[in-house]
Amino acid sequence: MTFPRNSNILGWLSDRLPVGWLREAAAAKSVPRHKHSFWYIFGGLTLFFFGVQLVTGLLLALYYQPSPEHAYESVAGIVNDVQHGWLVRSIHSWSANLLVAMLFIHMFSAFLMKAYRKPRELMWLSGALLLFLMLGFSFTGFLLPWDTTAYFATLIGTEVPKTMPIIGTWGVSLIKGAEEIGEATLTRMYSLHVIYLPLIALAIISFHVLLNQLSGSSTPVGTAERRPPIRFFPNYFYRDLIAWGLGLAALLVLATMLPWGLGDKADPFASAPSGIRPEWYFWPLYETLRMIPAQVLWINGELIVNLIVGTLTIFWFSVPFIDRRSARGERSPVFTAIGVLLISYMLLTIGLAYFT
Amino acid sequence: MNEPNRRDFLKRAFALWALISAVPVVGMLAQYLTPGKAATTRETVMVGKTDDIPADTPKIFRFNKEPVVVLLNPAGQYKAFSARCTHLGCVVQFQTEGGPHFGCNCHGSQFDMSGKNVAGPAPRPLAPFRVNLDGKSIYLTKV
Repeated sequence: MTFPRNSNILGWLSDRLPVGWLREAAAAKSVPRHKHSFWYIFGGLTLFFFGVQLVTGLLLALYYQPSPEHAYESVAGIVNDVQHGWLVRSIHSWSANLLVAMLFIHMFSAFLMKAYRKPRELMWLSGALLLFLMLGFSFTGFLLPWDTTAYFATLIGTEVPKTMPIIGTWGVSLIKGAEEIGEATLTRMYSLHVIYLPLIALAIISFHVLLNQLSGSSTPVGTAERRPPIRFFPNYFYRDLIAWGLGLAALLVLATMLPWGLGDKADPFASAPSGIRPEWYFWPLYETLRMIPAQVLWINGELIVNLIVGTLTIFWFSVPFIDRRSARGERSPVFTAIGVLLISYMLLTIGLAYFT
Repeated sequence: MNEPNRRDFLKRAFALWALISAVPVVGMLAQYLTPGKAATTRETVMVGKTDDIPADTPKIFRFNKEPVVVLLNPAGQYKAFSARCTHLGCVVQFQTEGGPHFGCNCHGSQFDMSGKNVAGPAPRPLAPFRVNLDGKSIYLTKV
C-alpha cells in the first residue's frame, strides 16, 4: 500500500520516514466487539491523563523550588501570583486523581476479563509495574507542596515499610535521604518525581502500548463477539478521542469548580491536625492500619499489613502464571471471586475512611 | 560432549567479567544512595523556660530534631515525653475531650498524661525524657 500524497508535508515526510509503514501497522490492529468492549476505553483514558500530567508537570517545574524553605512559598506563588498558575496546579492535582481512578478501572477490568492470559502475560506484568510507578508518582509528588498534610502523609508513608524484615529500615533511609524528613527527602522526592519515574514510566508505557499493538485486545473467555472487530486506526482511535474529550471536560470542570487547595506550611514540631488523611487511593491501606491492633498475637501490626501488601503484590504479578484455567481458555471463577473481593474491600475501606 | 570452542570461552569469560565487575559497582551505588550519619546531636538540651509552660497545657519543644512535649503534672513535677506517636511517628496533640490526654490524629492512638498508650494502634508508651531544672531553664536528656 502506498501512502496517499494528499499533503505536501506528509508526502515529504513519507519520502524520508516510514510513515506509510507506521500507518499500515496502526491499521493492522483491530479491536473486538462484544458485551464487555466498553471497558477497553479506560486504557486510553489512563494514557491521556498521563499526558496531561507530563504537560502540566513541565509547566509547574518552571516555578517550583524544591527546598523546605522555598517549596511551600513557590507553590503559593504559582497559585496566587503566576497567571493561570492556580489552574495549571489544579489540573495537575485533579488529573493525578483521575489518572489513578482510570488506572484502577483499567486494571480491574483487565483482571476480571482475564486479559492476562497467554500471549498477553508481558502486557499484564508491564501494566502491574505501571500501577506501582503511578502510585510512586503520587507518593513522591504529594510531599512537594510541603504543607502539613504532605509532611505527615510522607512521614507515615516512610514509617510503614520500616517493619519489613531485612530491607525495611535501609529501604526507608534510601527514600528519605536522611534520618528525619527534611531537605534531603524533598530533593529525593523531587528528583524521583520529575526525572527517574517519568523516564522509567515512559519506557514501560511505550513497551505496554507496543505489546497492545502487537497482540491486540483480549476477548474474555466464553464471550461471543457480536460483530466483526473494528479497525483500531482510525476507527477505534476516534472513539478514544471522544473519551479523551469527555475526560478533558470532566477534568476542567473539577479543576475550575473545585480548585486544588494548599494547607498550612509543614511544621515538623506541630501536632498533626485533626482529620488528616492521605489521598483516597491510599485509604484502603490507611483504614487497614487504623483498624489493625498494635500486636496480633506476638506479631507487630504494621508487619502484618506489610506482609499482606507484599503477598498481594507478588500475587498480582504472578496472576498470569497461576491462573491455569484461564491459560487453558476455560472460565476461572476463583480468580473472578478474588477480583470482586479486592474491589469490594477497596470500596468498603474507602467508604469507611470517607464517612468516619 | 563438545569441547568448548574459542567463541564459547569468550562468551563465558565476558559474562564472568561482567558479573565480577557488577558486584563492586552495585555495592558502591548502594553506599552512595545510603544517607550518611546525621551530625552529632547533643545529649542534653536546654529547651525553654518554666514560664513557657502553662499549668494546665503541655507544650511541644524542640530537642535536636525531635519534638518533645513537656508538662507540669498536678504534683508540681515537670515531665517530658517524645511527641512522636509510637505507631507511625505523627506528632501527638494535647486533647481535653473525655479527659486530658494526648491523641494522634493520624490513626487515632491515645496516650494518658503519663505517656502510656491507652487506645488505638500505638504499640508503646511515648518515649520518656529526663527533666532537669536550672533555675527557670528546662534541660532535657533522652532516657
